[in-house]
Amino acid sequence: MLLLYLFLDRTKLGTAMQAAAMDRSAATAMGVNVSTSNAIAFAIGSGIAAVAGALVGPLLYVNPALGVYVGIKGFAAAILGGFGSIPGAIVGGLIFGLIEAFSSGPLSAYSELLTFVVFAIAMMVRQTGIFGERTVDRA
Amino acid sequence: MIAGTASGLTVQNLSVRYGRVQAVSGVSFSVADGESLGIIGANGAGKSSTLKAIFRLTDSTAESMHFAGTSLQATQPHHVVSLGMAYVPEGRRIFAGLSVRKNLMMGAYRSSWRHLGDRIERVYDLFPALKKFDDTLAGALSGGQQQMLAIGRALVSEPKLLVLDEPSMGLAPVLIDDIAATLRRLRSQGVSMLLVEQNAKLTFGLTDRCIVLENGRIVKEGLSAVLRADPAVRQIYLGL
Amino acid sequence: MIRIGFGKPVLVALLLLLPIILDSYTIHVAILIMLFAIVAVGLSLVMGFGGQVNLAQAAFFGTGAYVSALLTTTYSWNPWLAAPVAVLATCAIALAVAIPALRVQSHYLGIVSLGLAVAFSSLLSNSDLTGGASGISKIPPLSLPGLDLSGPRDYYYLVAIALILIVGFALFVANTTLGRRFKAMRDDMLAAAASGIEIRYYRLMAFLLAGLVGGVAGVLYVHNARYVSPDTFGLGVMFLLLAMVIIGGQDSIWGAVVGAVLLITARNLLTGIQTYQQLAYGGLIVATVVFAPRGLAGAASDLRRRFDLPWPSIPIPRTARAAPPPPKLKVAKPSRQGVALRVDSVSKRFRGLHALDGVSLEVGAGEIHGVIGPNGSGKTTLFNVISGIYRPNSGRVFVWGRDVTGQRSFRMSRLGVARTFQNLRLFRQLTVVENVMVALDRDPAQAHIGYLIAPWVVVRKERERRARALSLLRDFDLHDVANELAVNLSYGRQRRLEIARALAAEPTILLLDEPAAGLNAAEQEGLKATIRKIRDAGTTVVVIEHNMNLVMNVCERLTVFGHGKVIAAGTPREVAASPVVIEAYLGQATPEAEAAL
Repeated sequence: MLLLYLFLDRTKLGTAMQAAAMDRSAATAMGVNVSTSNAIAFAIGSGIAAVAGALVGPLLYVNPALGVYVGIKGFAAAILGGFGSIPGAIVGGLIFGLIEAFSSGPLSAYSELLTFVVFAIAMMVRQTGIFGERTVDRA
Repeated sequence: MIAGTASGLTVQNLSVRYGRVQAVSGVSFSVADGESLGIIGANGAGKSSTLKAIFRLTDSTAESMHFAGTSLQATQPHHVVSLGMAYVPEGRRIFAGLSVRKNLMMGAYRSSWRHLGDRIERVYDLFPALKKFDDTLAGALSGGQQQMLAIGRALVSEPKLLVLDEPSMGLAPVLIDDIAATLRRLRSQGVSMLLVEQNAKLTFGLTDRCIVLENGRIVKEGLSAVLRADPAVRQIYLGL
Repeated sequence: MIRIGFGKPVLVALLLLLPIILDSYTIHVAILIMLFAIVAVGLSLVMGFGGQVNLAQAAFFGTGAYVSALLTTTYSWNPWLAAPVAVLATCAIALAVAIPALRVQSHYLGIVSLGLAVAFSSLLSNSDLTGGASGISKIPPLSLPGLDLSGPRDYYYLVAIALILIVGFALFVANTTLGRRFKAMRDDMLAAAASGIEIRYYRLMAFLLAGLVGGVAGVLYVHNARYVSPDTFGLGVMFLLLAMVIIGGQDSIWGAVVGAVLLITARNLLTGIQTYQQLAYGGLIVATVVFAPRGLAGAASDLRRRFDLPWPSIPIPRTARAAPPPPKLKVAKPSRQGVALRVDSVSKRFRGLHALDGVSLEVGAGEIHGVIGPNGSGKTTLFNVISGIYRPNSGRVFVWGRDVTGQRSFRMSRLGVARTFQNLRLFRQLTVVENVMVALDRDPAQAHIGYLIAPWVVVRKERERRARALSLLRDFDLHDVANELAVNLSYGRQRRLEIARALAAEPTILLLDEPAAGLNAAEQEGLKATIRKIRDAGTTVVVIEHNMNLVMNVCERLTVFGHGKVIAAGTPREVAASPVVIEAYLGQATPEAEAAL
């Protein structure tokens, strides 16, 4: 995670990737190969996901559907914490985990529903997540 | 027709089409080293499309397009800046989520980052008002400041040819003065310029030669001093 | 003239004749295709047209199915009674999912809706009430007196009728003002609100339509299959639906239908290679997004555009009833007197930055008022406060004496305030004439009930609106590109279109944000004349501009901004002579520039 943050913040390629996401044609005019940059971003993302998968494997049983549900919850947790914020992702994950832990027992069937309703409400309150960046839309 | 020169920009018979709209048709011009060329014209005349075609940001057909001896048509869009042409796009197009410094660094993406600090300092010399925003997100700057940043970003790559698309658009008169002064200073330092503008008065004052586009075609060209005195030009473009 | 496409009656006939030649198994597949087509149409409406990323569509399908199944098994209701209840329940769920959409959009909404859908699936699997993972079986069939609907052929006709009705209605919506408002909202929310569209309402409506349609499909599915389980509406189905809409073309009803036909057929053909099925879908979606991002419908309309092909059609002559020619720039209201706009000590802060600091100004009726000042001095923020995009932190805004402080955008539009935007906000995927038609529709959202109770009124209004829009475009010399996509116009024409669109709303106050940016001298003269004509027709104009030529010659009074405050106000002559203004804004421009030239 730290490596990723450093990569995005300190390196040429990291900055270029962010620039390409913000304005594709301006980035191209600066010399960024946007297609390659996007592909690398994808690859890094996938790679990190793969690492997460490998770490989680021993905990949950491995099956082809494993990825999807954990993926969705993980994604939601990251967004809850704030897209682009590493500490945020950790906080988000903790919140999700706590809700799940507390709703075992009689409410267990509703635990996912509870989790995602809390998520929906949280997103409504703070659209870019807990530690997310606020962007200003100057009309 | 201007024969291909080993340096500078030459464009021959350029055409650009968007769907059914013919934006540019049979346009030819050249910018020699150290020269400053202006392209003026009304809306929809094809000025921006011409620039986008040169930077390979839009599809086009041409008999030839060369810069410093290299064929632009054979060049990928993200390699154009390496040839020595820097682009200040219409509407600024700075990277709003990056700091001013990072924006400037992006300008030098294709250059070595070793003397980057010096280059950035040189830009701040040119635009002292930008310096205090070094760490600020570019999106928070005002329009005029963003324009300065866009020009600075282009200059960081120390280009042979600076291409500007309507730099004065939406700027306060006092800022247009500043930018004009800056461009004049660059000219005296030998930077070649290709300036596309709605503001004909500004353009005549900053360029050696001009071409006038109408409906995608060149309708007049010549020395700026001569064009400025041309009655037809004066009436349409200078409102006199 | 009304043109009825050749296509539609032929397709309907084919659809109804099909069961005669097909065997029982294929009819079952056909039923499944039609059901999916119905759900896909719902997704197309909410996502393609409305721009709402709704990844819970499969869950809507599931809700309709499960509620109907539950009511008819556990509670032994009559299926015909259970059906409307199930559909209503689905609508309620759809509205619940729509609530986050009021504040959350784009990929965030996607994840929220997907999460809720996943939660729903999980609930179904884990709750005893719904039979858990094994689902509900022995669901009774539907039956009508005299008709046995448990047989595939008869059921086919039931579903076919539903499909025809739903597709017909969806097409009606898509091609008239409701569909257009959805698309406007999708393309640019701020501009849509400024054109009178109540965004929240329309988002709810989009989800409601999606839920309604999904619920109907769910009910029809369950009484045919007679069995339902959580798997039937899981993620796989959601992605399948998404694929249908993407491949068919996001904002195309026909596209959704074609997508359903293609993908279900493909799925059936590929049943042998189950394992590679998902891979094949994925590949197909990727291929579509890369090579034909607007889907099949987009590719078809691109071809049409390129070769100017009309759809084959039979013209039906009608006695031409000429639409009354609308007057040029008609007077908005009988000339009002007094103060059109008053801003009273308005302040607006953004994270510590004072964008506006105690700003006051007054614009009289019929005045052309200029707002000038350096970039970043608060001019556009002022417009945003007046037009309802921002709520001020303090101070008040009065329009024709009425306190409108904090009123939202669409309401300001209804009150007669229209505007253009500094950075151009056109509805890019709508045509030029459609952009204007959006603003011409001044009906509140409630008027859409007409779609159900008086569709002929909807059609008539459409025709009138189109005529008025074309006439307005003629005034602005944009008539020749009326059917061109707004995004394809040159910059200058786009600017003109934005002004035309603002005027279409017949405002009493028009706010123009840097209308001369990018215009040459001749066009500036044209703009000056246009502004004067607009004022003469009864609209008060407030203009933000940097173009001194325009400001000095057209504006009667000026307000000068600096760092969020008003630093000068008065006539152009007074203001131009003020040393404060010269230093902050005008510069020693004119004499020096002349000398340099």
